[in-house]
Amino acid sequence: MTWLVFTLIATTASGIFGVLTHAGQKAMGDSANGQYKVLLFAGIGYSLIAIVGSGVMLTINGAQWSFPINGLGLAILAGIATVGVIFCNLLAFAAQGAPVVVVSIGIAGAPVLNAAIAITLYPPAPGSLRWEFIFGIAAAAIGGYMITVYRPGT
Amino acid sequence: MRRRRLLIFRRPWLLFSLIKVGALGVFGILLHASRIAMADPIHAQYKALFFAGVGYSLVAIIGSVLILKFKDSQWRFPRKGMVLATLAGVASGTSGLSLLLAFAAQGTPAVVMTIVFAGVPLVNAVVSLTLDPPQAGGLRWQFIVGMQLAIFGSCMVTIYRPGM
Repeated sequence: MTWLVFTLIATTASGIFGVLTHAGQKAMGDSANGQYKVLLFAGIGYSLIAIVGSGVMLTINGAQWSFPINGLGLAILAGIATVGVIFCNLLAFAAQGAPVVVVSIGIAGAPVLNAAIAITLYPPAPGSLRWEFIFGIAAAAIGGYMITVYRPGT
Repeated sequence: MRRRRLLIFRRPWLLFSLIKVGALGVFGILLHASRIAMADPIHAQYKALFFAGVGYSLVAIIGSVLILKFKDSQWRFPRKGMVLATLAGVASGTSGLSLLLAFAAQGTPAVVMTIVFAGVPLVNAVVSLTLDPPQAGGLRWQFIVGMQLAIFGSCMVTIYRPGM
């Protein structure tokens, strides 16, 4: 169950990310461009871990600096998808989308889309997909949606 | 079909929200696929994270610098905002690294990402409520039910994941 430990670390880090970006945007004291200033420094912070951190690990471990073009392209797309989420949030807010609605659509829709694509690309063994698993995905998506829509202060 | 297209034209925020759903939905799968495509059983996760960082930085750093230039913004950054934003990026990078390590430890994208998607609003709500406690009676029953559903759903996905 080592994967579960890393999954929970990823969950905690992603949960804190939202709080930190919100606090950072307020601390920038710039109502017009504060979100882009936050994105700039979030990019620097991400680079510190992702580029510098993994570069150091590859060097220390004596890894070969060869990267298959397929893996390289998919990894760059994954990075663009991550920041694309933040950019789309900013653009949706700028286009008068209410934050609670914009965030809720993402939280409810993403797990379903992710599960559908993942199961299509990496199909489980026949008969191993149980109804409880599908029910769990739906419950998690609905739960995330309700937390966002009915959070205190809305 | 025609009505739907018109709705998106009238509400661009909906279009951006749907693009966001697409990006969030494919992010974990792209990370997993890139790790496999690196074809390096020992260092694949670091190689994938390295280029995910390149992609992220291309958009986040270059993109926001261009927007700030285009909008003729003042190049003044309060220290507190700078530190908090950099920490947000570090949290995001840590999340990416942990996801890759979870995939390397035999976690599948369908299971890992469902737990993350259910857990993120939960962690976000707990941290926000701790930092900024609501007034008495400020917690609605739907919020509590949502938390329970998210936890219950994550447990179901973990226990009944394919292959168990």
